[in-house]
Amino acid sequence: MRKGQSEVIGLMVIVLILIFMGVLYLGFANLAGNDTLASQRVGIETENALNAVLRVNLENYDDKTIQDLIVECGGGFDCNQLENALKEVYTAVLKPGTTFSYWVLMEDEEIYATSTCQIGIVSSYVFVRDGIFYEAKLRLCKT
Amino acid sequence: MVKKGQVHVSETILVLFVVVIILMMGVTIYFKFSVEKSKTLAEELSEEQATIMLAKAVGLEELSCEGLGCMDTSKFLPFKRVLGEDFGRYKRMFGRKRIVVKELYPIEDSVKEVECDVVKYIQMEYPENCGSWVIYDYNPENEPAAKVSTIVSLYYPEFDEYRVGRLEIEHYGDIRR
Amino acid sequence: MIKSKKGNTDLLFKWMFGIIAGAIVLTFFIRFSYVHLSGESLIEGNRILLTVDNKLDALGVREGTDVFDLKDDFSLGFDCSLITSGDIMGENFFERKTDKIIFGPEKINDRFISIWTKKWEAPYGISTFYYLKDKGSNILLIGSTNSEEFSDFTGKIPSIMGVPAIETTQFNPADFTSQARQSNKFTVVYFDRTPYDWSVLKSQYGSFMDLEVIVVNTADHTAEVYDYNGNKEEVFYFRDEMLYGLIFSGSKYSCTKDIAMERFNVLTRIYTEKVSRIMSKENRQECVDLLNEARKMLEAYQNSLTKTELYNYFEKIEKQNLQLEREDCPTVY
Repeated sequence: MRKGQSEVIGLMVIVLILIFMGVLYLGFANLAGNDTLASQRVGIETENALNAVLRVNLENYDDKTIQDLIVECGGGFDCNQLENALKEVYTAVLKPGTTFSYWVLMEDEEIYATSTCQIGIVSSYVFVRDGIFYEAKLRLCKT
Repeated sequence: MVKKGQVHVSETILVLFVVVIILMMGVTIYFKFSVEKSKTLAEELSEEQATIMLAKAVGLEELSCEGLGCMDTSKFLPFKRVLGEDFGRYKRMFGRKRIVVKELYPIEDSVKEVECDVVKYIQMEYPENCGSWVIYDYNPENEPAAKVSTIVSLYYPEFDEYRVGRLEIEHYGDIRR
Repeated sequence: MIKSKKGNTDLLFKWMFGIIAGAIVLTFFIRFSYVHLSGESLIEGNRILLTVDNKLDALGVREGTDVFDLKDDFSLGFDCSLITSGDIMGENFFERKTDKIIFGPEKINDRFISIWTKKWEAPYGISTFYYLKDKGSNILLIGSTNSEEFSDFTGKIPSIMGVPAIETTQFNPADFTSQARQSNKFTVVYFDRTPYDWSVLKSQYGSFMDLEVIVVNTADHTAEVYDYNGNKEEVFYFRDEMLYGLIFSGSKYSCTKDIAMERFNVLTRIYTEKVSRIMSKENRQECVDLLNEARKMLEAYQNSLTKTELYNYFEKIEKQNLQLEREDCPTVY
């Protein structure tokens, strides 16, 4: 190979390396993302989903609220009403592809639980009715 | 047969040409990277603002219930009227966004997308005759939007009733106001 | 010399070409770097304002306190509805309009800013007030610690804001000379009695800092504000939240107070219209009558010209709302 030819080949190799590095750099720069905002929104969504639903007046249950049904469940009444109401409301309210787990404690003892998902942010809400402490917890999960 | 001087000149020109190409490519790549970085920053800041707006809008005195963490639907139409009279103030507050509240439960599917206005409000069937309020809308350049949303509690003081809705904020990837 | 042999590039030609071409390329890159650095400075300057605005938004969702760490000493200004960064005469001056009602010193040059948020209710929620303070501004509250009103008022100020309350009879300006002289802004707030007026304090503390004196008349809900030149301004405040604002902002109070009153008008308009709409949906006559009374009061409230009228209607609307609640009618707020 002549001297000139080997020099030119050397230059071509440098150009190719530079192009390759540039493409790699741009590729990695685009990959690096920030999920903090999305996590914050999931946290806000979970808390709001819990609080808003606890308060809603249920048409099919004599305008009772979920809080009322929780108290009834804790008072020895049928907890099926609570389960059905939760399913009805959360099916309407949550985005498609979102599942939930819900459990209720009365004076720190679990009185009701439904669990269709394991991984997600949990939000809880404590209220008092007739001197008794109730705690409702909700977990939202994306499938 | 190529003479030595001709080869030398050709080599010099080729080297200069290749060096200039490398430099230009390097500058172009860096320039493109800078522009992409600025665009990404603008989009991230816009998303950050919209996320903050989700919490802020629920607590905004013009729209919220007093201290109960819900939105007062009876304030939505009065707010829209005030918005029409004093748009500059709220443009500064919200920027380029579209803010919509939609009722999710309990509501018939047929009225979910029907906008609540003064006419719907005065009808006997209210609130069963409509399901959404466009609280604010400013997109002068018709840009494509990204959406953030959250669940909210909706209070109807006329009927002392709570329902569940969704607050949606569409933002336009730009933090200009 | 250049043309010594046909096609043979001479050393001199190479040097000349190299110097000229190199100079052009170097100039290009220097200009490129300068434009790039200016752009970065512009982004950073505006970014700090946006960050502060967003942080205030996040804090304002609930009442509370916080200390912002800006990670560096920025010169931030809070003037009415503007947040500024940098020196107005300098190159790196940026400003941003905000919707927030911020009471604080005109300039903050500290890395750490103490912030307290409080909801202004009159009687319905009008806005969240932001009270700002840095280490460079110091405030003293001088009043009768035996007075329940004074103790209540000062007791609500979070300790993080560093605003001590001192008994009037025990206040001696000389005790605070070194603190005053190390401040950028020193504010003395008297409640009802003025043992040492502005000129006495000025001669004690000198011109090392901006001295402001506020004399509050709690019976009248008015105050006299003496700025750093000794010029007097008479102002009024509507509710304790505004009085806190006066304390933290001093001579810059009026403009922010006007913005707060504009918001008051907007919210009162919304509540007036809300009540009108609810009336049209209400079936019970007793509720309609009570709501109509409330609506008239709200209209008069909005059109109040004096602070006496404001306070009077405030109480009436509170009572009317309680009455609506007792009668199981929809309430104003």
